[in-house]
Amino acid sequence: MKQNWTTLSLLEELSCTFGPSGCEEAVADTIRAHIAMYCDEILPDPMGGVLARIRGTGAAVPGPVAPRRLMLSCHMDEVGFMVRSITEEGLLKIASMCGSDTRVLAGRRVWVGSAASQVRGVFGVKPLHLIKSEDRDNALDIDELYVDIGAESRQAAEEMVHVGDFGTFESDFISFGMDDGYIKGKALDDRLGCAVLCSVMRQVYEREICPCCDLYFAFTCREELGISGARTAAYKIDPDYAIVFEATAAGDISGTSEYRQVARLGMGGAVSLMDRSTIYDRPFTDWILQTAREENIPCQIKQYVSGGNDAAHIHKSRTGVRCAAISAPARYIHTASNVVAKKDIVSIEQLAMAVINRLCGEKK
Amino acid sequence: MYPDTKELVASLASIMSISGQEERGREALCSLLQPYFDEYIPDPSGTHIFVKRSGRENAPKLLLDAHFDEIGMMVRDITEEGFLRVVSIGGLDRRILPAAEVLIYGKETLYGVIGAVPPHLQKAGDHKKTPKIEDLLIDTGYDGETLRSLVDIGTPVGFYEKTASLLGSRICGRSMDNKACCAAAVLGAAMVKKEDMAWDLYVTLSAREEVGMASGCSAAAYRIRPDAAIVTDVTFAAAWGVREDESGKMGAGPVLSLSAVTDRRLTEGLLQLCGLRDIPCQTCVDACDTGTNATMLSLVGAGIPTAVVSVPITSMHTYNETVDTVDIEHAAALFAAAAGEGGLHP
Repeated sequence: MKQNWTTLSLLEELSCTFGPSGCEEAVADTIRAHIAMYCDEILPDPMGGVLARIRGTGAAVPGPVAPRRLMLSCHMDEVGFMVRSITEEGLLKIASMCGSDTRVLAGRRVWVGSAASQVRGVFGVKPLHLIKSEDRDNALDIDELYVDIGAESRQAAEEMVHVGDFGTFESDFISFGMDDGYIKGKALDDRLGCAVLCSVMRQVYEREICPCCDLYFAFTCREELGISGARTAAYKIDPDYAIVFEATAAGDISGTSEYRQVARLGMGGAVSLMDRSTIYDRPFTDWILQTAREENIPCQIKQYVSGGNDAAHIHKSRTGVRCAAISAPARYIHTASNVVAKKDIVSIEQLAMAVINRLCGEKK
Repeated sequence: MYPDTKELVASLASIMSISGQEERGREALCSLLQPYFDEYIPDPSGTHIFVKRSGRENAPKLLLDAHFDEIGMMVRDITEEGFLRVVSIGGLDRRILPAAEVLIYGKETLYGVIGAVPPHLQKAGDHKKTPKIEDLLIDTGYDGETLRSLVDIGTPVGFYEKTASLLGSRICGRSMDNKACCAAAVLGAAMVKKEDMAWDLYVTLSAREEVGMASGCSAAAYRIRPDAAIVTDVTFAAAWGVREDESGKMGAGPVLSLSAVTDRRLTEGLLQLCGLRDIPCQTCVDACDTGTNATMLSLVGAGIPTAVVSVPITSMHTYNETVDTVDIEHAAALFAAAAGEGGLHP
């Protein structure tokens, strides 16, 4: 049982944990160790997720949004890759699980292995001195990228790494910028959601908050593949309402016209109205936005129809689930260098607590 | 006693020395290397000259040159929103820049991330193109006004990656080109016993190689007027489709350059020495150009016989250049043998 942690210290621990899609055990173990005593039970999940339940009082929810079961969901996995083969020279050929932009792989340091142990490697490149000048303008194809773990031969490599092993970025967790107000790390998409929900569970426990409805905290697998562990989690939990806690590409850097930006760092969680796979439940979403306004919690609307998340599967579960999504605006997601604002983490956690508080009956 | 190779490389790599900024780390460099040398001579070219004397009268002078500068960037614009635009210094590999991490050496050392355009703002096919340096934005996490008080136009920007271990004796990180060879030169000087020295040994950690000027090594060589010179620099390792006959094998020892611009007698002397002392080594044909300081160095004054001894490296000019410390140690052993009794003939 872990104690004396903060949302930020847990986020650092989770960010540095190895957990590409399909290999989330280490992340799940860390989460379980932090929340076990704050919930009534942890449901078994054959997909590898952590599904934790806080039992409600069963009293009537006072407000207009009156869930029977509320699912608060985030995903544990991160973008990564898999070892496809090992060359004579001991280099690893990989299959990417990072999306199509391979430019963020070349040159990077990575970890390769299993949830239990990993070795360091480097995505090496043929030196630019020896390539044709026009090729300097071309991104490296996935077939031109190899991971070098320092092995002198296939045999030496095979002592450390096997075909089918997983890989992710190596990236330090760094506070930087004005008043150290920003964080850079890998997998902040979506370990940030994980850290916030762990912290919310502890607050509910420590402040003896008694929601009328059951709260289910779902830490899901394989979101980055689109083969969502949230689909099966939602089936099992059978919620009528769900909020997805995510990270979304902000696109708020210099030179990007305001109308093309998605959300701005430091302005609070970005609440989604629509993305490429979900139209969110408007009364529920409006109620969340109103809650934020009334409690003076910074939040913003996600202003660009882009991306998608676990809501894609949750809202279609069984007879349908009313879904909302609150995302931390993040720069450079799906790279080794996700950047988020610390302020936004605080705002999102406050908003989650405000929502839960409104689902409580009158204090006895 | 001489230093641990990886630690020495890591210490040298941690001293920022982007071309044109080589003097900034003088204090740190001198305190790091002071145990291994008798004398330090500053040079207006930015080159650091370290001397280990034999104590013999009229001893010949052997110059061991390793360029100290590293590739990097320099600030050319600071945006209202607190992002930096940069120019490159030396031949940066643009293919590895999106989402790369940097250190900005302003009034304080700031951390930054090179921006990458999110997928929804990319045009079809954009992800197949490497960004142009002029289009890069470095995210600092500051507002424009505060950033302007910490950073100026002209502030150097370097990569973040510290030295780290891979399997066996291989290490990776920023600026292995050429801190690996700086380490080989220093280690060589540390290894040769003073009483065995047949030469006075001048180690020049020279400035401005990466920008193609070789001005640092030439100026220092003009000051020293050595009787012979060895340039030590990195060379391509055989990997990622680099042809075997234009590269060296990692872990197989230093690579001696066979070239029209180097001194063949000196090179053969070094090869013989490797044979006599059981130092693993290899050769590589660099017919017209070694791509190192050697060409300019050999033309200093009335001319200096010059050889090139290289350490194989992969991913040159990225922030995770990789070398084998075994090669550094063998190169050092060769340098120590060259400067010692029964070593190179003057």
